[in-house]
Amino acid sequence: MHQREIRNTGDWANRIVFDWATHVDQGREEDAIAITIIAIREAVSRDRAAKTLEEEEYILGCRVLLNALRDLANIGLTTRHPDWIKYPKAVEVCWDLSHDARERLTSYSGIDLDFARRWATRATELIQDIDSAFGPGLYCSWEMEFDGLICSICGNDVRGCEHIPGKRYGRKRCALTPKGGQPRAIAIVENPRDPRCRIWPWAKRREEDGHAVVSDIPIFKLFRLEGNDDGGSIVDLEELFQFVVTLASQEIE
Amino acid sequence: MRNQIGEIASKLGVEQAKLEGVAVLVLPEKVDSEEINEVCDAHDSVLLAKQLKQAGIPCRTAYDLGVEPRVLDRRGADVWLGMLWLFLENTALPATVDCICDWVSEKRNAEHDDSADKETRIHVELRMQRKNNTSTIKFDGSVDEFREVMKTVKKIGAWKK
Ligand SMILES: [Zn+2]
Repeated sequence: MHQREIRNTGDWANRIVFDWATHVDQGREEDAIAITIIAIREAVSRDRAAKTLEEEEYILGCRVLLNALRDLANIGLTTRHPDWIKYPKAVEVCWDLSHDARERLTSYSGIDLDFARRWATRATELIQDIDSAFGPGLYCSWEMEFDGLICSICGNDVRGCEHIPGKRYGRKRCALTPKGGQPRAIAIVENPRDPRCRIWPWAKRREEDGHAVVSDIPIFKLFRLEGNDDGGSIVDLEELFQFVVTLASQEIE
Repeated sequence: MRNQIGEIASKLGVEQAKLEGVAVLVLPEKVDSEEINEVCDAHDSVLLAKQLKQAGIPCRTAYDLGVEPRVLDRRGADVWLGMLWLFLENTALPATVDCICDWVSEKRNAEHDDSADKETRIHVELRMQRKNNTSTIKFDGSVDEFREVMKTVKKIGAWKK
C-alpha cells in the first residue's frame, strides 16, 4: 500500500498524496493526474499569498512533489498499454517523464526521503527497461559561449560578486542567467548532462543514396523542478499510440 | 623547467608580486597558448572558484585580475576545470586540494546517482608552482583518479626544500 509510505509532507499536501495514492492503487491514473494538476494550481495561489520564508519553502516543496506525482501517474497511464514500448512517442514521453520524476524526487530536500527513494526507484527501473530495449543510446549535447553569467541577486557577473549559485538570500535564490550566448558546437555524446536530449533510433533514416540522416533531435529541453503554474497536463494517449516503431530503422548505426 | 608563472602574470596584465599569498589560480583553458581575448573560462571552473572563495581559500581568477573571459558551457556530464595553478608552498594548499576534491565528488554525486556505467570524467590542466619552477599535468580521467592525483599534489606540497 502506498498510503503508508507517506510522511512529513504536511497536512495539506499529505491529504493530496493520500488521495493520489488511492487513485493510483486502484488504476485510476486519470483521477490521480487531475487532482495533482488542481493542487499545483492551488499551490501557486498559496505561494502568492505566502507571508513567510518557511511558508514559501513549504509550498515550493509541495510543488516539486506534486509535479513528480503527476509525472508518475502519467507514466502509469502510458505504460498501462501492454505494448507501450513499441510506440516511439510513448517511449519518448515515458523516458522524459521518468527523468523529470526522478530529478524532482531526489533533488529537493523537502520531500520525505523514504517516499522519494521508493518512487525514484520506480522511475529508474523504467529508464533501465527503455535502455535494455534500445541500448544505452546517444545524446545531443551543446557547447555555448557566453559573455558572462549574471547573478540573480545583485545583477553583476557572478565571477565578481559574493553570492553562491543555488543558495538562498532572503526570499530569493541565487541563480545564473547567461549573457550574450552563441553556440560553439553541438556534440553527440554517450554521457550527457541532460538525458532528455536522447537521439532515438526512429530519428534516423536512410536516404536513397545510402546516407544516414538524423532529424528532429532535441538540442535543449527546458526543465523546472517546480513545473509550470498551470499545473501541467495529462498525456494524450491517442497521440502517443498512433504509430508503432518500425525497428528497421535500428539497422542504421 | 621554466618559470611560467611570470609569463602568465604578464599575460593577465598583473605583476607577479600581486599573486603573493595566492594558493590557487583558477584560469581559463589554454590561457598560456592563446590570445588573452580568445580564451574562455570553463563554466564548472567558475562554480569551483566560488566554492573555494566561500571556503576561505586564497583563490584568484582571471576575472579577479581584471580580465573578462567569455564562459564556455559544455552540456555534457563531464567536468571541465580549465587550468588550476597550485602554489605548493602556500600553507593553504592542503585545504585547497581537499576543497577541490570535495567539490568534484559532490558534483559527480549530483549528476549521476545511479548510472555507474556512465562515468563522470574530469578535464583539467594542473600547474604546480614551487619558487620559480612550474610543472604541468594534463589530466583527463575519472573522479577517483583525479582524487589520487590531487593526493599526490598534496604530498609534494608537504615536501620541504
Ligand atoms: Zn551576486
